[in-house]
Amino acid sequence: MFKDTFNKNMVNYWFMASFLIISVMIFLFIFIPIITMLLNPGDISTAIADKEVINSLLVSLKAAFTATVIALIFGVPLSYILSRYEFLGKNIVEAIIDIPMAIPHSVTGIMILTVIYGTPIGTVLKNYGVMIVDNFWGIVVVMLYVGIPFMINTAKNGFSMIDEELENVSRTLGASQIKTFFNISLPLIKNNLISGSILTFARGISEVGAILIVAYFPKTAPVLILDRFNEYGLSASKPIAVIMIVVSILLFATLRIFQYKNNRDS
Amino acid sequence: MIELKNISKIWKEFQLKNVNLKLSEDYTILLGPSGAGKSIIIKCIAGILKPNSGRIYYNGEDITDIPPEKRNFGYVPQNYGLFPHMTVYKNIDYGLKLKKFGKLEREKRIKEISEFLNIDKLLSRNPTTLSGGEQQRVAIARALVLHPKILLLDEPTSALDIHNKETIINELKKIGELLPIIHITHDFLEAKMLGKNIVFVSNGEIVDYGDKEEIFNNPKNEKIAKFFGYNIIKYNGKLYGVEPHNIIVKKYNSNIKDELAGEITGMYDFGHYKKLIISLNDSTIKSIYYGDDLNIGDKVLISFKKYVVLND
Repeated sequence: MFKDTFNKNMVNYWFMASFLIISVMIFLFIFIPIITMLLNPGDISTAIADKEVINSLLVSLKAAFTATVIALIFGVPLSYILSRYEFLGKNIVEAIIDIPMAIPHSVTGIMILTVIYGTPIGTVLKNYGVMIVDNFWGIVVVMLYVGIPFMINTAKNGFSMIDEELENVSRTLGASQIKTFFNISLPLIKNNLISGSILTFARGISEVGAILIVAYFPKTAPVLILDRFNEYGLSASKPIAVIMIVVSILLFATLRIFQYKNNRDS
Repeated sequence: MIELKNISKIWKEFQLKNVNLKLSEDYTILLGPSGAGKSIIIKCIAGILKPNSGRIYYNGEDITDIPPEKRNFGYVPQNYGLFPHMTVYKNIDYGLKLKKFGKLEREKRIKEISEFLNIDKLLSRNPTTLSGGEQQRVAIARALVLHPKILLLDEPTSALDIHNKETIINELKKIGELLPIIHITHDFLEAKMLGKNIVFVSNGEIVDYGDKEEIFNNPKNEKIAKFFGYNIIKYNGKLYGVEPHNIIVKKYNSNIKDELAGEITGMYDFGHYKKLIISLNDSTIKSIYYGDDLNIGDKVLISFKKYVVLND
């Protein structure tokens, strides 16, 4: 019996030890580059004083924020339809929504340019004065394209978790379908909407490849970092990169705290 | 009151086939096994589901195309459907607000209904912190506060323990005197306790409909009899349905020839009575026995106090 317990404990010990070592290794893999950058930021003060750096950061934040808001407004209705209704070709629609997550960034850029320059949609947009190449809205379009799958999928999962009977009861209590959506369904997926926004925003702000192709100007922070690296090397690009890391961490920490508070209150 | 004419509906894996039904204002139970299509009927009446074909009438008016929010039929689903992001008070207030009642009227109605259903101490609580019985009462209060024309209940006691079940059944009896109730259950004892009218639903069809006594005392066929707990016994080429308490069990006596002989294969002691499982020639039956002189393995004779001859 003693031997059995010993063997069992040994198995537990090896299991825990091996999982712990592997977990620490993968955590350090993520953590070491971040902490190395933060501890050796280079000449931050010059970077902060550099107007181009600040502008690029503002462009990144504004564009990612705009893309996230558009993703919320346009992604949520689709995610609701996908979670509530069965229709022919639903699987295909879902697969297409996931495509932006799977294709190389440069290909995304080429695809968007092809639509602008090679299809009637581009011509119509041009006729109405809607230009997206090399301007702020081009960056928003790219960020929206690469980020929207995260919003749709997260919101869809949220709606799928809601018991449909809640919506049914709301209807019998006097709420129309639209009132039921805003009073019951939407508040219940608040956390999913926050998570979806974080993911969409994060995906947008980190995009480089497609932005380089569609809208090189105005420069976003990642584009500027790449530019400085190509022209002046590591030490010139590092301080901007550090600022970018700090801004991102602060932003996501704020959103997570908001989400945590929200969870606790409910 | 409610009339369904040729209603057909396919919903998820369930199907309703050409249902015709005219319900009175008396407490009505839709009874039948799980998956029979009872929920589809109640959802069609509430307006949550629209039938594929057929019409629904309320007091002669065609309401098939009227959306649920304009019917004012109270609906309580099986899991109560309380809104988890609102307090009990806000749950009950939800419909009143939508119907634009004034603040004083809303407060008055919530006070009345919460006292009537004994939930006045729960109003500030979150629904997720309530017990099953409390949630059920809140869900009923939320529906009743709007003074609905009918109350539709989907398996209201299925998730409750025996004590809460009895309390809710008593409360439903009281509520049933105030307004018409259509109540779904798969529990025939609950149906016996509450229903004035019984609609027996099976495989998406109405198999039997009528007064409680009539339905329970004269099951139409073997399937319904079995569902009501009748023993099905083949004797002299005929099929009999006998309720367990209508079976008389005696010790075997070789001198008595005209009674059925069997053997006790199981016995459950409930204190003041025993439930016996008796093996006959080609079937097993259940009976209630009040004596102390029988044991598993004993040979017994059985006769019937009361029985029905089943058609098929």
